Amino acid sequence: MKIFLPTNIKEFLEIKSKEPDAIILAGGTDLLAQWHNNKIMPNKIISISMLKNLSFIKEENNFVEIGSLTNHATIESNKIINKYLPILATAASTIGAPAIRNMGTIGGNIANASPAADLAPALLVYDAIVKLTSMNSTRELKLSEFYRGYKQTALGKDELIFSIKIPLPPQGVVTEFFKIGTRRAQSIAKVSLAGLIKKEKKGIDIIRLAAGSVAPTPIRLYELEKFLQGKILTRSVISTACDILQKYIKPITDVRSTEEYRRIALKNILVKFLSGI
Amino acid sequence: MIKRKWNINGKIQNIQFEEDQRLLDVLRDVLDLTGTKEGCGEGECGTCSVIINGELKLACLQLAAVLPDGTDILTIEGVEKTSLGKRIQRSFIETNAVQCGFCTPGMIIASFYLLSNHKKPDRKTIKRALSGNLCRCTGYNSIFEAIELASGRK
Ligand SMILES: Cc1cc2nc3c(=O)[nH]c(=O)nc-3n(C[C@H](O)[C@H](O)[C@H](O)COP(=O)(O)OP(=O)(O)OC[C@H]3O[C@@H](n4cnc5c(N)ncnc54)[C@H](O)[C@@H]3O)c2cc1C
Ligand code: FES
Ligand code: FES
Repeated sequence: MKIFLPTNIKEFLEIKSKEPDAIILAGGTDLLAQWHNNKIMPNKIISISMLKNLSFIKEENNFVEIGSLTNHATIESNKIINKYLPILATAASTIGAPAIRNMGTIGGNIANASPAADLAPALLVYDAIVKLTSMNSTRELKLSEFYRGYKQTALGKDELIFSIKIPLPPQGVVTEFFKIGTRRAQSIAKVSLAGLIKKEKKGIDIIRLAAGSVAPTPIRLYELEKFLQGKILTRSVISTACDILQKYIKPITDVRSTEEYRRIALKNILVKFLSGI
Repeated sequence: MIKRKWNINGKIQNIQFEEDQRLLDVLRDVLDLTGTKEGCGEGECGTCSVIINGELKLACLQLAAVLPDGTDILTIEGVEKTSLGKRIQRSFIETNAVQCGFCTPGMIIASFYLLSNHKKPDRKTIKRALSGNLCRCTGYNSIFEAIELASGRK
């Protein structure tokens, strides 16, 4: 087994272009647990824990940019995040327990592409962009396009997630994040929902919804948004929204929950969100 | 073989270990610091809690080789020599917060980390701070009481 420990991004990219199969290791909370359970380890590991330049949060040109190595504890308590992206801080605060939040990173949470990743629904409603970098290029794509399928992403073998960029949300929006798990700490979501809404007298002006654990990847609920756009939230509108939701999601039964439970729970939190504001 | 020079419990030590070893393995098998326990090996139970460069971490999810020279590691063997550590230990004894004792080193590390950052935490803060540590014996209340007792002392 070989471990690479680059100390700057240039060195990382050089190694990664020569060793495309080396597994990127960030906080290790997903990978070490996986290696332990499967009793195998990869032949080549490239750790990014020494790349201190990847750990930052800044506000610039109407964007908040978060370095991929930023951990959950930092996101939970950071002033910029709490001011502009409150439900991202909330989502981070629900991840694992203190030690997990000190170790786990935003880059790992996204790259792992678990349908239950807690930062994902919040990032999706904030229209987050993933910034990828390799030896020869840098590219940006929407988080919703970064996800390609169950635990699959658009990340190339020579690439690194450099940062997550989030446009400042419009003025006057209300946001909320709901997570249903088995116990308060350490529980992976059975189902989760993030919502961003701006209501005017004449109807909904802006609506964005995203859900976790109800499809192979975390998803934006675009069709539901289209239906709700411009509507006044009467009981019958909310009821139709629930019907659309049911057609649109594909939850499964697994160790954590059943398909039926997930359908009912997500419907209930959608109703709670729409009728609560 | 990996060679590192770490500051372990206040003492600079030169150590050697294998590429695939976790910090938990290095502590227990190489350094013979067996106070750090392996409960689950996958981040769920907190018995392997340690403090790395001032932050609470889990030794079972930490690959040792990625910790560079100069890394500061504090384990239960180091915490018990500090005055705060001693105060917490005494409180655990007084409130009967130890039964089988397997969770205790991790509980004390998490309590030490909490009380290093909060002088007088309320019950909610204590529960949240210990939420990554499982105990199969005590029912937790005596542990929460121990931390309250320790936080009120000099
Ligand atoms: C006990 C426990 C509880 C947990 N609870 C939760 C929870 O409540 N909610 C939740 O969402 N998650 C939870 N997790 C999962 C995990 O902590 C998070 O997903 C975490 O954010 C992963 O980050 P990491 O840095 O530890 O990733 P790592 O394990 O280091 O890596 C994960 C994946 O991401 C890739 N990767 C990492 N960084 C980059 C990068 N910059 N560029 C490209 N690829 C990269 C790695 O190659 C790997 O495939 C839990 C895990 C444990 C062990
Ligand atoms: S052994 Fe590390 S958390 Fe259980
Ligand atoms: S005292 Fe036995 S597990 Fe806590």
